[in-house]
Amino acid sequence: MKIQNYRQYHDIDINFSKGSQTDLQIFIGKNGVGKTNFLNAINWCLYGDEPHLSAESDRQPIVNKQTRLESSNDEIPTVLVEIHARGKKNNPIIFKREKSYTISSDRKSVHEHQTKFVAIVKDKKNNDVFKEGEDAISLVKQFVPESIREYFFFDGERLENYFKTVTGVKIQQEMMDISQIGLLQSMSERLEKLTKEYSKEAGRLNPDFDKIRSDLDSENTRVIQLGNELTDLDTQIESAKRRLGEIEVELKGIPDVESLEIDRDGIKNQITKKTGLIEAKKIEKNDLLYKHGISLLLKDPLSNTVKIIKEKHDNGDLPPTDDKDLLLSTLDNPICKVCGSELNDKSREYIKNILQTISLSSKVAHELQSMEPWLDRYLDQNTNYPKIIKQLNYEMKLIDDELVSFNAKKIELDQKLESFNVDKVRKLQRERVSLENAKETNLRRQGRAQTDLETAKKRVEGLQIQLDKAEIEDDRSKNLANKSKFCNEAIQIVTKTKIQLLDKIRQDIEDETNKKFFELIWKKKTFKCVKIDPNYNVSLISVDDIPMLGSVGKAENELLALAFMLALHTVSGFDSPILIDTPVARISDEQRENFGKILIEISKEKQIILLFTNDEYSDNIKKIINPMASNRYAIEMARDEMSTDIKVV
Amino acid sequence: MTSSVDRLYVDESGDKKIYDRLKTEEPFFKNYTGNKELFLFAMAVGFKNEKRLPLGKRLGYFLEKDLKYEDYVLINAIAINETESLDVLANKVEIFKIAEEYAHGGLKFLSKEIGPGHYGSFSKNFELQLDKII
Repeated sequence: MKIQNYRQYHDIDINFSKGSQTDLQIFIGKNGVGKTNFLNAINWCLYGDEPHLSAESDRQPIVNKQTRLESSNDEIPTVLVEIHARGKKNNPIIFKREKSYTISSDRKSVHEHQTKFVAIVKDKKNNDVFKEGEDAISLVKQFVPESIREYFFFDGERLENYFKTVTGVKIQQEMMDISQIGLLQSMSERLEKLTKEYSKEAGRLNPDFDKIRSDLDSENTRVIQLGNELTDLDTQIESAKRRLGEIEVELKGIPDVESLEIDRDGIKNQITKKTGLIEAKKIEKNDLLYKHGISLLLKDPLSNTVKIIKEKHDNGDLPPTDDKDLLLSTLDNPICKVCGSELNDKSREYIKNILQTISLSSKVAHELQSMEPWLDRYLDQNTNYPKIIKQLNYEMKLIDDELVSFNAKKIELDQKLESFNVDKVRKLQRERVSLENAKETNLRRQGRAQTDLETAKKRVEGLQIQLDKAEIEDDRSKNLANKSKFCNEAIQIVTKTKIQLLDKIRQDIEDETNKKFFELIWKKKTFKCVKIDPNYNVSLISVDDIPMLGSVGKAENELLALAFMLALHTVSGFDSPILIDTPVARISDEQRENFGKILIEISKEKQIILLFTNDEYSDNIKKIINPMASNRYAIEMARDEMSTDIKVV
Repeated sequence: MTSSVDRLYVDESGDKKIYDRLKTEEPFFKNYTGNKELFLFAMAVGFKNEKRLPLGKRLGYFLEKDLKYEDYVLINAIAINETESLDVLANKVEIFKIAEEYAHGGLKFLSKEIGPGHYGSFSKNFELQLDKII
């Protein structure tokens, strides 16, 4: 490979010589020195673009900085990348892209001139033959077609997400390109066109023919539409099933978070309710303690007073029969309050005697009588207190116990929920419900579409018979009918062949991926197989028959991607090299050793170019790769940071 | 200030402050923040703890008209018990004086039972005290 004036590379010439055992080319360089632009240089040479350009590089002109600054005004520097490869039958082939530029006087901007792209091959006499334009592009297609270049030159950083970003449809399309099934497609389209022409001609000979033909056409269109609808539904159902499988793996052993959250909310409500209840009970208890407390603290004086009143009752002092105050006032003013006559001595003596037997004044007696019912009430209250307080304490304990139990449940649920990434789990569970609903709907639609398709096919058959009859009825159209029939049969054969070929290729890729994956994988008892469905959705099946693509480690995922790509290489027949930028960046230290061994194994059959960062090329991978590498190169930036050099280590 | 039987008095030197603390610092009295209610409670506590203390300078705390008959019954019972005579019932001044002095004593007792260090424990302690009475 030769690089001149391209970005960091001022003037580089690398000879990728093969080693005795491997064809393993190792490049090591710090971040930012231009490893990824090495990958871009290959893309630029072959396809004229730079798909891995960083934002920083994107702002810079393609012409090397040193060249730009050192060039004189009348000089037109040329950016050149040359790849020396081997084509079909191992014949040498050189791809060469060059572009000339004019530099502005301030040396900051450049003006592009023409681009020249050539492919140089050898003729039988070993002379150079220069191919340009479509011829050159055609040779690139034979080397690494643009549509599948990302399976040859890629960034290890994205291998981990390989199956997330590369859709089945894209792979399917590329498989059609690789296997040149487009030829069959063109053949089929041409045959359909011919059939229509023959039918049109026949229609002119038979007036009914047009009507039948038109009906047949529309029914055929309907068959195609229903077929497409069924394919779409099938894709959607399969995709839903696959995603559901992945979700199932991710959610394995994880409870229904939403229902746990509902339970926790319910418990929170119960806790709030019970806390409120216990507060109300505390207030009730305080009321009880206050009201009964006073009468209990005064239990003795209240009881004594009751006792005294009882004695007064027993002695006949209560209720009072005589008015002590009236008798006293009669003695003070000795006129009888009844008859008005003056009291004599005998009467006065009599009143004095009565007064001696009366112990309570009317006021006191009246007071005592008024107090009586309240005293009884207080004493009753005191008697009832133990029962009431016991009941209240019992009720409070029950609520307290419930609170303790609810709090324990809440803590348990909190801990359960804390142990999961609730947002993620909730999202997955919602996605699962949504996918299940979508799957069910699509299955119903699939059933209906299937029935409609059968009906439409029967109608096509009926119309075809009518058409054949109409054609045969007319001698002149007989010949056309035969041609039309031939074309129809040919279309069916071509279509069938196309389907069989696609399926064969898919099957070959699946077999090859399985073979490579199980050759490469170090954990051989975890996985059962790799499956590739008709839509090229790749699934990794565990020994328990569970699709587990979403839950495998980074190393396994990257390995699967690598196995899949190697299978594509094998099946496609392209023997071009594989270039991986930062091959083990996403792989943990302990897996790097295994991964290194695998890359060495692959390099025994195919050229592997690996671009490592210094950090990535750690001791454990170094000790595996160094002894086996065909060449090791250091990518180093010059001190002035204007260019990068590649040196053999 | 001259004494009058139209109201009940507390000791001016500090009783009111203690009553205010009962109102604000002790949740037990949350629903009983009336002057009369607190006075009757302090009186019962004072009586139970045999803490009757004469008032110094007197400060009117609530009007007699606030007393309901059931409140009189409590005050009267204390007076009868204290004087061991029913005649005291005819002497409202004496009845109120006894009640005031027990409330003053009870309040001293209560002031030790409340405050930040006792938050929430008054109710429990009081319940235990009542358990001993029944």
